[in-house]
Amino acid sequence: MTQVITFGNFKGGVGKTSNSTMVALELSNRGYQTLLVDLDPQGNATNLYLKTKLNISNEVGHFKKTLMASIEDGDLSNSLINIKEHLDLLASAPDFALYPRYMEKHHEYLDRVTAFNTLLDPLKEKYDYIIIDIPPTISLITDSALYASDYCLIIMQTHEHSFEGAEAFIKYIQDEIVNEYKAPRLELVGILAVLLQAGAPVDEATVSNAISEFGEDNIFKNKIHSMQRLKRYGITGITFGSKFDKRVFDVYKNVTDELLSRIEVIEHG
Amino acid sequence: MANSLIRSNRNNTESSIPKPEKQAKASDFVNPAKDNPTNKEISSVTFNTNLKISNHTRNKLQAMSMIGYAENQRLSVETAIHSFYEQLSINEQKEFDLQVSTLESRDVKMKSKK
Repeated sequence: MTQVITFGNFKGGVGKTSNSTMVALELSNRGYQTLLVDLDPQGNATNLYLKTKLNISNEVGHFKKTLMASIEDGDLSNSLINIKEHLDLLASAPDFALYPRYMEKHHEYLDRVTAFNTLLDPLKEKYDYIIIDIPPTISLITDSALYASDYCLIIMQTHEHSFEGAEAFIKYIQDEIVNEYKAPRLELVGILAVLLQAGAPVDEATVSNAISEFGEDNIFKNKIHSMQRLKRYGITGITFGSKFDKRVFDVYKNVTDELLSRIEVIEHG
Repeated sequence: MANSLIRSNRNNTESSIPKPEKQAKASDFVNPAKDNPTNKEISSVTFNTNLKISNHTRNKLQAMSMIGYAENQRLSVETAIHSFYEQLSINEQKEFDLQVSTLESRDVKMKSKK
C-alpha cells in the first residue's frame, strides 16, 4: 500500500525541502517507487531535483505542463518528471500560488481540502512512497497535503521559533486536519531534529525542551547535524561520488531506516 | 506508536456507533465540587512582562497616546497590534491566532509548574 508522507513545520527555512528530497532519494535507491510532490510555489525541491537529474544523466528535465495547469485538466501525470530510476518528481512552479483561488470554485472549504486527495489517488497505484514538500504557511495547500497524507514528519530545527512552529503545527494537525476536516489516515510519525551546531547550548536546550514537551518516543533518535555539503545541494543539485556526498547519504540511510521502522510499528504494532 | 501526539482518525472504528456526549458516572455524585466553575481548566493566565524598546519606538507610542489613539503608551501597543491584525488576510489571521494560542497555553503550563 502506498504511504503518503508530508514533511512539515510552520516555520520556513528549517529543512523541510532538504530532508524530504534526501529521504525520497534514499527510498528510491532502495528500489521503492518514489514520488516527490513539490507543493511549494517557490519550487525549491523542483529546482534541486532538476539540477540533480542533470548531474545524473546530463539531461535537462522537461515537464509538459505546470502542476497548476495539470490540476485544471484533472490529471497530474502531465507534470511528472523522471529524475532517476524509481524516482519521479511532481514539479511545482510559481503559478501554483493560484491554487487556493482556483479552488474557490468549490463553495465548501472541506471540498477544496479533499480535492487534492482525489487528484492524487490515480498516482498512488504507481508508487510505494509519495513524499510531499509543503510551503511554510497555513493555507489550503498545507491543509490539502495533510488531508491526503498517511503520515506527517515534523522537521524541527534547534531554534526557539522552529520549536514553537512544531508545537503550533501539532496543535493545528489535531484541531483542524484531524478533528475538523476528518483526515482519514493522518498520523504523526515523529519529529526530526535538525541541529544548527552540535553541542551548542541553545541546540541542546531546544532538543531537551522538545523531549520534555513531546516525549522521547516522538523524537527521532537520528538527528541531522549541519552539513556544508547538504547546504551546497541547493546550488549544485545532489551530487554523487565524493566522500562528503557519502557522509550525507549515510545520515539519510539511518533516517530512512528509522522512518520505515516507525511506520512499521504504527501499521503493525 | 503508543503515545502519539495526535489522536488520528485511522483507528476510529467506533464512528458509526453514536455515543451520547455526556454520561453520568457514580463519581459525579460523590464529588459535587466537580461542578464548581473554579475547577475548570484554565486556558489563559495574565501577568506583566518586560519588553526592551528604543527611545524612538517609545516616543512613537507616546505620540499615539498624546494624539488620542490610546489612553497610555501601554494601550498604544494594543492599538497598534489591533490595526496590524485588521489588515491581515483571513489565512494570516488564522496563523496569527494559532501562534498566539500556542504561546498562551505555554504560559499556562509554565505558571502551573511553579
